[in-house]
Amino acid sequence: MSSVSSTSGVSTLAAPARRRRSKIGWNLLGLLVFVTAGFPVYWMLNTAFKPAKDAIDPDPSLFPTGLTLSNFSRALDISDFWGPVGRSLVVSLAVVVVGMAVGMLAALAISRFAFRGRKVVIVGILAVQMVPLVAMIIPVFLLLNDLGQYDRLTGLVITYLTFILPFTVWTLRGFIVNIPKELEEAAMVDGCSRTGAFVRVVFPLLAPGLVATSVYAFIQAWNEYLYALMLMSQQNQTATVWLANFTTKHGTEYAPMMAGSTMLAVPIVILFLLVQRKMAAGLTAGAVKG
Amino acid sequence: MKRKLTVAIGIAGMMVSIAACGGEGSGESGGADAKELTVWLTVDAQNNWPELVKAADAAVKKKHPGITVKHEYYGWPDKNTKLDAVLATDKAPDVVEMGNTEMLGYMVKGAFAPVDPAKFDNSDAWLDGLKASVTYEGKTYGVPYYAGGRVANWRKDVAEEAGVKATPKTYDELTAALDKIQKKQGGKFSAWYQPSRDWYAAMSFVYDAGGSIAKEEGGQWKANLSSPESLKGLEEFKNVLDSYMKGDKTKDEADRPIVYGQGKSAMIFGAAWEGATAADPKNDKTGELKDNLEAFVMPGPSGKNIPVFLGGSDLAIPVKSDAQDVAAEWINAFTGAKGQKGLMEKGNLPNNKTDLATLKDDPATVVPATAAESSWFVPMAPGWGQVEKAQVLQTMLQEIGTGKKSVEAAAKEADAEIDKVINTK
Amino acid sequence: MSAADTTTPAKVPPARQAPPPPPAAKEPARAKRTPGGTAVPWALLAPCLLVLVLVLGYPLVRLVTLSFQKFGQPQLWGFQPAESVGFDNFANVLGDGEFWSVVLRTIVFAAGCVVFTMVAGMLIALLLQRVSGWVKMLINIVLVASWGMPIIVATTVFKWLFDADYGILNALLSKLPGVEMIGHNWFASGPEGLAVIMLLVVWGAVPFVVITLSAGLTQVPKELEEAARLDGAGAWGVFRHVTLPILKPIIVMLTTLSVIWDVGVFPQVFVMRGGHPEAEFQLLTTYSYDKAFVVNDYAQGSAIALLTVVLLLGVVAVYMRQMLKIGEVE
Repeated sequence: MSSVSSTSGVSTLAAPARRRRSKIGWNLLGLLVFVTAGFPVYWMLNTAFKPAKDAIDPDPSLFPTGLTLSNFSRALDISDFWGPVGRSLVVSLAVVVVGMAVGMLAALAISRFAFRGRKVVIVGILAVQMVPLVAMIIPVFLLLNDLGQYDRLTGLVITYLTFILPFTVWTLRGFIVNIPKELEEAAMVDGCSRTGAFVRVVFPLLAPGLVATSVYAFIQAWNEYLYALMLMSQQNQTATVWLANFTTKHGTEYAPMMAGSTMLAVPIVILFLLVQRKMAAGLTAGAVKG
Repeated sequence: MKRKLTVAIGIAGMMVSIAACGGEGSGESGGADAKELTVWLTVDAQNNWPELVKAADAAVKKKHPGITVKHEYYGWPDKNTKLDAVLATDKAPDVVEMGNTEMLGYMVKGAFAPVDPAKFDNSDAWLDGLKASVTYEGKTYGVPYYAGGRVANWRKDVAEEAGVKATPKTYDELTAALDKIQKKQGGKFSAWYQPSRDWYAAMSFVYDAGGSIAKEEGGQWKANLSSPESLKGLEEFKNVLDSYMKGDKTKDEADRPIVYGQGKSAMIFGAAWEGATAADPKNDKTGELKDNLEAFVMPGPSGKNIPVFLGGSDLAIPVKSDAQDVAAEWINAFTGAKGQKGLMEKGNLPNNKTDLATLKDDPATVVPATAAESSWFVPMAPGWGQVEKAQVLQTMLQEIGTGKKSVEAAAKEADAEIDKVINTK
Repeated sequence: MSAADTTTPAKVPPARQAPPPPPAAKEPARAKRTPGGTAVPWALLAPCLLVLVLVLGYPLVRLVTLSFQKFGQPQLWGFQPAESVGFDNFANVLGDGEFWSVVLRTIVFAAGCVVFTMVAGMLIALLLQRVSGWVKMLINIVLVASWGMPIIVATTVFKWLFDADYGILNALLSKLPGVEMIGHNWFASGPEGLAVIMLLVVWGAVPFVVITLSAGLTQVPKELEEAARLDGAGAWGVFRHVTLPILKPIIVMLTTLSVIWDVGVFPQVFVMRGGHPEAEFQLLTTYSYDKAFVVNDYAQGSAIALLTVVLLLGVVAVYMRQMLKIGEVE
C-alpha cells in the first residue's frame, strides 16, 4: 500500500508542510466516511457478538454490551451451514471466471471492431437488463426445469451469468475504449500478432477493470436470493437462502442471523483483500504506461 | 430451439393432465409403491419440532421399506411463490403445509387432491375453524395440523402497581384497569400494546359486536365492514389504539413479543405463545416478565368472551403428486393421535376437540383452550385469498390507527376493495 | 472456437495477474486473426449472446405473450388454457390511476438514488486518492463489507436503526440538545420512509461506484494532470478539464446502469415493509410483483414489467446516442 500512497504523493507539487497538513484534513474526512459507511456493518458485527437478549433493546447502546460466541454456535446449529456456503462459493467463482472470459470477448468485439449490427448488440445487451428480474422468475424457472437444470448448480450459474454479463460487457468496454489503439498498433508494428498485442498491451491495462467487474460479479452471485430460492431445492440451497432459516412464525432470531451474515461476509472481504494487491498491480501498470 | 421447447412444454402439460386425472379417484392410482416422498413444511417444524417429523418418517418407512422421504423447509413468505411455480411442473411436492387461511384459494383452483377424512385420526372431532379451512363445496382437501389460540396476557406487577389486584373478567373491568395503568405509567408506556395492523385482533372486535368481514347471500359474497355492527367493533378497536397504544401505529404484530419483552407495555392480545416468547431470557429485557406474566381469556365488549381468530396450519396433497396414498399415510403419522401429543407439548393447540378438552383440565393450558372455544374464521369465499394478500384489512386498520381516515370512510373503502375481488375465483 | 493456444504466456508482462480469462480470450481472436470482416466480432460475441438468448430469450418471449393473455394460477398449472385477451391487460394497467402515481414515485425515487449515488461515489473516489494508505485500506474494507452484506441483512439492519421502538438513530438524535425523536416513526409517511430506503439503496450502491471509478481514475495519466496544474488550473479545473473527460465513458455507463438498477429496486422496499409495501411505498417493481404473486395475475404483472422496460428505454434513449458514440470504431 505504501507504494501507492507515495506515487500519488509525488504527483502533488506543493510545499511538503502544506501537503502534510492537507493530508491530515483528507484523512479526517476519510475517517468520517469510514465511520458513516461502516456503521451498518458495525451494527451487524455488534449484534452478532452481543448476547442475544440485547439484540433488540429499547434503550440501545452504541457499544458492545458483552462478548459471546453463542450466536455463532446457534447459527451453525440451526441447519447445515458449510454445505450452502460451499455451494455459494462454487457458484460465485464459476460466475466470475466464466463471466470475465465471456464478457471480455464480447467487450472486445463491440469496442474494437466495426461491424454490421454492432449498435443493435450494444443496445440489446443494455436493454436486457431493463426487464425487472422479479417479473421473470416463473418463466426462467419453467425454462430451466424443461432444460433439466432445476436444482442444478449449473442452472444457477448460467442464470447469474445473464445478470452480470450486460454489466461486465459494458464496463469492460468503457475500459477498453480508454486504452489508445495506437499502443496496440505500435506493438503490432513491433511484430506482435493482434492477439499478442492484446495480451501484452491491452490486457494489463484492463486489469483494474477486470478486478472491479469480478468483485461485482462475485458479490452479485454471492448475495442473490430470489432466484437461488426458486431454482434450488433445500438440499442444494445456497448461503443467502440459508439465512431465511432464522425466521419462523414465532419471530426472527436476529442475533444468530447477524452472526450467520457475519460469517457470510468473510469470504467477500477475503476475496477483496486478495484482489486488492492485484488492483495495486493494476495501478502500477497504469503508471508504467506513461 | 424454441420449437423443441414448445414441444417439451406441451408434453409437460399432457403429463400434468394425466396426473390430474389420476388424482381424481381420491388417490386410487396414487402410487402406493412410490419410492420417494417429498414433504414441504415451514421452518417452524424444522426449528421447533424436528423429532416429530422424524417419527412420522420412521412410521412410513416401516410400512414401506425402501422409501426415501425428502424434506424441504420454507419460510412463510417464500413458500407459496415457490409452490406456485413448482405446481406448474413435475416437481410438485407430495405433502405441503398451508396456513389455514391460505388453503382456500388453492382449493378453489383445484391445486389439491381431495382426501378421505375417514383415513385420518380424530377427523370426526377436528376443530370447526380448522375443518372449515380444509373444506370446499363439501369435499375435504387437507388435514388440520395444529391450531394456535389467541389470549390476553398482562403484567401482574404493573397492574398491582396501579392498584389492580384481580384479573379482569369483563371488558369494563379490563378498561378500568388499563386506564389506571396508563395513568400511573403515563407518556410512552402502552397499557395495551396493540399494533394497528393486527387484523386478527381488530376483527375479533368486529365479530364480538355482531359484525363480520363479509356475508354470503344466495351464493354471492358481499363485504360487511361498513355495516353498523362492524363499525361498532372497529370504533371500539380504534378506542383501544387511541387510549392505550403508544407505540408505532404502522407496525404489524410480527415483533409484538419483542416489544412486550422490553417492558414498556402492560398487556398484549395475541397468539398464546407470544407471552412465553416475550418472557424468554433472550427477549425479557427488564427481567420482570418471567415471574409476572398472566394469561387470561379476553373478555369482549359484548359481555361474552371475545371470539378469537383460530389460526393454524393444514397439510395438503397437491393433485400433481404421484404418491398420494403414501402422502396421506405420512400426514396421518405426523398429525395423528401421537403427533398431536407432541405438538401440544410445544405449545400448540391440537387439531381436534377431544385433545382440546384435556387441555382445559390443565391449569397451564386452560386459558388458550377456553379462549379457542369462541372463535371466528375468515369468509370461505372464492376470492378471499386475494383480499388477504392485497392487505385490504391491514391498510384499512393502519389508516384508522394513524387517524388518516375516519373509521367509516376507511371501512367503506375497504368494503369496495373487497367487493371487487371476493367472488372471483 | 477451440483453436490451439500458441501464444507463449511467458512473454506476458508481470502486471498481468488478474483472473484466468486470458487463455480463453486469446483463442477466438487468434483463430480468426485474418481481418475477415464481421466473422471475428461475431465469434467473440457468440458465447455472451448464447447465454443471454438461452436463459433470457425464451422467458422474454413468454413475458410478452403472457401480457396478452388471461393468465392466473389455473393457467400456470395447466388446469385451464390461457385465453388471449388482446390489449386488455395493458388497458387495465394504463387506465388505473394508481399505476401512474406509482410511475411518478418510481421516477422521483430512482432519480434521487442515481444522483446521490453518483455524487457520493465520485467524491469518495476522489477522496481515496488523497488519503493515506491506511485510511484508504480502511475505507475500502468498509465499502466492500457493506457492499457484500446480503440485501436482506442490510435491510434488516437499517430497519432496526430507524425503528420507532428500539432504533439507535432516534436514541442518538434525541441526545442532541433540543431534539426529541424517541418514538418517532420514520415509516408513517411514504416520502419519509422512501427517503430512508433511498439512503439504504445509495449506501449499498456507492461502494460499487467508488471501486469502479477508482479503477477508472488509475487510467488518468498523471502527466496530463501535472500539465494542467502547471498551466495554472486549480483543483476544480484539473478535475473538470482533465479527469472528467477521461472518466466520461465510465460515468455515462455507471449512470445508465444506476438508472436501470434503481428503477429495478425491489428487495429493499419489499423487506423493509415486511413483504407488503403500503400503497405509498409501491414502486414499479413491487407493484408488478404484487400483481403477479399477490393477486396471482401474472398477465398484469408481465404487462407492468414490460411498461417498465418501455419507460427505461425512454429515459435511457437520451443517453443512447452518446453511449453508442463511445469508442466509435471508424
